[in-house]
Amino acid sequence: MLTKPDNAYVAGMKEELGFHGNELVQLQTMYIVGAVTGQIPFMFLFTYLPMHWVIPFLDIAWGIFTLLQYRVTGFAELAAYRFLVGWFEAAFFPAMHYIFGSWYRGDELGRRGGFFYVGLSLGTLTAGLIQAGASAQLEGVNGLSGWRWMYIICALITIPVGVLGYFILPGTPDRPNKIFINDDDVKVARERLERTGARSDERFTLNTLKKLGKSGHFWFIIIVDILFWNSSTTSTGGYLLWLKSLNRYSLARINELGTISPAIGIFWTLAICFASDLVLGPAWAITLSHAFNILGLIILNIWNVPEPALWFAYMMAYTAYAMSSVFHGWVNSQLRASSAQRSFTLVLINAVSQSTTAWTPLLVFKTVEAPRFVKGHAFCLACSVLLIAATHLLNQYLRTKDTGAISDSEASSISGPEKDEKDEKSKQVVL
Amino acid sequence: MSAYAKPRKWHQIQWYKDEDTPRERKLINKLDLLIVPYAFLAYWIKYIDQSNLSMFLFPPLALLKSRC
Repeated sequence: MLTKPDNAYVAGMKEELGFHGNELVQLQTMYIVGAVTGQIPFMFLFTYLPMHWVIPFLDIAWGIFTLLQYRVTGFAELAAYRFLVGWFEAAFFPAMHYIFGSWYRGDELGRRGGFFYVGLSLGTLTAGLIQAGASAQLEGVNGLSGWRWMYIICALITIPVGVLGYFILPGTPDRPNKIFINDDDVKVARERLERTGARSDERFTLNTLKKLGKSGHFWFIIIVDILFWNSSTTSTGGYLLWLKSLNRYSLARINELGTISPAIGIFWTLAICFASDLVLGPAWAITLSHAFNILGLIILNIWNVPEPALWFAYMMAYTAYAMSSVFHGWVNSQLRASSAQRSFTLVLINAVSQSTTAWTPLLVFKTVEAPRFVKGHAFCLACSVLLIAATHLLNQYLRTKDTGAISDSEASSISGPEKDEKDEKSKQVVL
Repeated sequence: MSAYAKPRKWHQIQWYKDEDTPRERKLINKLDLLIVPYAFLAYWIKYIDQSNLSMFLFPPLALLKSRC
């Protein structure tokens, strides 16, 4: 998010390199193409690699290509770097969720995932500050433009974070990072997860795909994730465009006001994730988060309402994202019986859903319609309603079908003692 | 005993489950310290690196692609 749009240095790169309109869009497209294709190999690889190598490797690699952007001289070079930054960043998100799912139980994943997701929200709030700050402060130092320095600064933060990961990330129970995790920790972790039916040592094979294809919840998971990615208006910048259309605020003020919505999103994320773990379970936490999203979208669809109602509607926009970690935790929990199915699905849903958002906005969020995206708002509302329906169908499916996976309410009742009691009772009846 | 098998009242929410032994709770805390702050930090910097082009190319209303 922009917080300091001073055109003197903001436009610096564009002018220095002589880009024109279409090339700028192509650069964004290069990133997305990289981000989708970069996930494909990792669908198959997570179960073969130590995760405390994978994440630092990805991080350092995208850090290096971020750094190289400081020396670009033309379009082709920058396009290549953008593709590679996208490629190496691609698998980070599912990789992190795979690690979470390898160590935590279903009812613990929401809270941890919630804090993880706040990192993204904080990114949207601080990116503009850091980027504008670095480029303004260092403009002209050593004869380099501000935007070139900005890439150097970003890389100087990224690469050490990657190195740090090699030392502190615990890997997975079957390939643990022995620096901080000892054998006893691994034993305890395995035991407590095996009580819930989790397995972490299965490798990906073609058989994994056959089994997944035959399981209904796999297809439900894909549908839910696609609907999730398409159910919010925020990625199209509607809120900022609406603020601009009010013709009341300066650009600096618009960018300040623009941070309110994601800042409220931090609260929503933590609230929904904690509620999922501690009170509601995933299906109802997803329902709650999207009930608020639907409320906002109904107002946006009506549009001709008092201005405070529109403010409220835009403040609700980030509730759609609050369920991200709840959902990914749920996927981890549903597929915990097989680490191969789990890792494949986590990466696949991300790649498929991301590729849908590359073209759906072009169809329904036409820039000329801004800020009232008639089709776009209706489309998001439909996705959000269908998302709730699909979530409960999935939950019902998990309840009725014994797939080795289990539904949200059962997810927490797989506890050792109680299950044993039930087993004992049923045995007695049989006897 | 689980929260769902025997519904607790809202004020009976607790961080660990009753079944988590002290040894397991120690492990959970250790994992929390190793994974959660790192995940947060890395995701934050990933977004910065992802978005640092749009700032220069689409001022002032950078189209925000978030979520991933």
